[in-house]
Amino acid sequence: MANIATARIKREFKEVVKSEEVAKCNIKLELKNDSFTELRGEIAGPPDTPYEGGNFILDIQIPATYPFNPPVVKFVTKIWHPNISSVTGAVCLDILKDQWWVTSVFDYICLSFQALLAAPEPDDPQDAVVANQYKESKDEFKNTARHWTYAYAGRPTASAEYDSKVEQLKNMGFDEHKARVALSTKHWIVEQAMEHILS
Amino acid sequence: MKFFVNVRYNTCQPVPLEVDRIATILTLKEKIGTRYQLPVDEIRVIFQGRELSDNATFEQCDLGNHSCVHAVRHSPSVQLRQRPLDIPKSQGLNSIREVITDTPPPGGQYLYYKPPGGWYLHIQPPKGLYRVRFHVYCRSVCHNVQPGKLRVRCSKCKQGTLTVSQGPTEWGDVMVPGRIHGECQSEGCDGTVAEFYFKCAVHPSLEDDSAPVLDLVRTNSLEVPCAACTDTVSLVLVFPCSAGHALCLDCFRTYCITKLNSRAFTQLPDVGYSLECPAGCVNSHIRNPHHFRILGDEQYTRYQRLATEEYVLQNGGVLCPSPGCGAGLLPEGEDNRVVCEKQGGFGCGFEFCRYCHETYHEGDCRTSLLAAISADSGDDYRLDPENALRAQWEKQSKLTIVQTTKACPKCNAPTEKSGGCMHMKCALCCFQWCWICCKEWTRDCQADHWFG
Repeated sequence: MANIATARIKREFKEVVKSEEVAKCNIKLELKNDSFTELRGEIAGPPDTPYEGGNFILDIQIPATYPFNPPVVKFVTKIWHPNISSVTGAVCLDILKDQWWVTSVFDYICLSFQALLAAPEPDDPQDAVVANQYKESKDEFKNTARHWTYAYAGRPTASAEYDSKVEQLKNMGFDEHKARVALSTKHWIVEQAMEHILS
Repeated sequence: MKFFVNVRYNTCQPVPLEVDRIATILTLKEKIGTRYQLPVDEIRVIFQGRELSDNATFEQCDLGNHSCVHAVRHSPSVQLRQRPLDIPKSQGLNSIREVITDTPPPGGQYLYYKPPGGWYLHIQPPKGLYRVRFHVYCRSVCHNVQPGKLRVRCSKCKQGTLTVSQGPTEWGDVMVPGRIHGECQSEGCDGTVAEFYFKCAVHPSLEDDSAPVLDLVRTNSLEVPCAACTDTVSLVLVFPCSAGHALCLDCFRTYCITKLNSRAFTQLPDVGYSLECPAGCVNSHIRNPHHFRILGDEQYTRYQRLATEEYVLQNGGVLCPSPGCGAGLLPEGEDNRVVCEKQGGFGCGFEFCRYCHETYHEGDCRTSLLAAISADSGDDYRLDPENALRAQWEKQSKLTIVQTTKACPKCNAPTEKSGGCMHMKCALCCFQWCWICCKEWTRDCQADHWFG
């Protein structure tokens, strides 16, 4: 059983490495171990989105029954997105569930993830908090997502205002990530964020 | 020669019943009836997940010597939907028209064989040796996929003395009876209809030697890579979808077992228990379930058992939950008390609740189960320490199941959640429900507590 999975991954891996389309979209795929059961994906944030300039790491687990069952994919890099859990990085994508077929391939998965970053679907949320913010205040969502891309995905520029607010809470002894989550959830109002952490 | 059909009514060993080779399913039911002292009209005979009708012959149902069928018991007042299902009608062979030749493959040069203890070994044949067009599952000698030979005989006297007036030009001509006509040359026979059958080309002919043809298994003359492992091998199974997705036989086997494990086969009224193309194409189900023989004897037996269970469940029946029994029962009415009647060795006598599958009780299932677990039943077991130990063991198992599972709101199947989101899909009845609300999944569930 595992032989089929390994043979298939090896071949797909070779094709992804030499695929021009994949290189053009700034997608990388590498093996995490020799047994072809764990892969590490890297996708670049699409241009003209709050994720632009960031690199997002994906953790890809291959089941022994691959390709008859889908790989399990989650974001390792923390990300602020309505369809991706800001806590666990879990993604709910139909192509990795009911719409998974034996003929699905990796570059298609990575391209679908990039497409998801470019076009969130707030009506099918994985993260209710992010989805509400996306619907109620698009600008606040964009700024927050941009700030997370700066903080976790290597985007070079930052919003000075958000950064100083995180710094402010950090100096009060709060954990940096907890402070960022609280500020993101409470519309970047420092007092409310503090209450949120303490409650 | 003696002809046997093995009948299985639960998870125990099948019972061989001797019947006349040209007899009908009704005759078999009569034999089962005599053996188990059951009225004939209460017996249903299930093969590959579909019910066999009374007037079909073993031959029409593709039942060879020592084939295994399942018997389930049906309470008389419930009317089942009638399913005229003697012969698979369409064999789903879309546009393939293969020229049929009667030339046997070159002596001894077979393209594949099964090494001892292994699965298929594919040998890439030299170019130009793509002569084998028919493949069968040889169930009498080889127990494997083998090249097949097409044979024609008179449908009346069963002798190979019929001269056809026109040769077959497509699969339908040989698989649908009565399409090709001719003239029987036997003395005293006025037969005019040709009957086609296949036999294994590898071993010397036996008296009763017909083998089910696997019309989707093709010699890979186009050198198409397998859709799953992407290897190009000499033998592939081509699904009846418009794209014609192909799997090598190893991958086909893994695909089927993966789907059997998650009970993801589909029960189709006109076909039986089947699978669709692994690329998700529409109208791509395998319409000739003999292909599942490729799984090997052990997994094919399992396929047959799951197919029968699915048939029973889809027709509102239950499987006896008693350990080692599992008899298929189709009780009448809505009463929750079901008895696996002990009659002539057919049932086991267990009296159980239709909904929770525990010993029969009155009132709510979960409450009574908890009461049964917490009740001290010590007295009965003190006499026999081994019994007491076993009872303790079962009690612990039941307690663990109650503590770690929730029942599917539709079919009550105990369900364990090992990860993922709150959106559950029942592996048995496919009902979509919410782990928090224990009700049908709604958009509100998605908004309020999809995960967490």
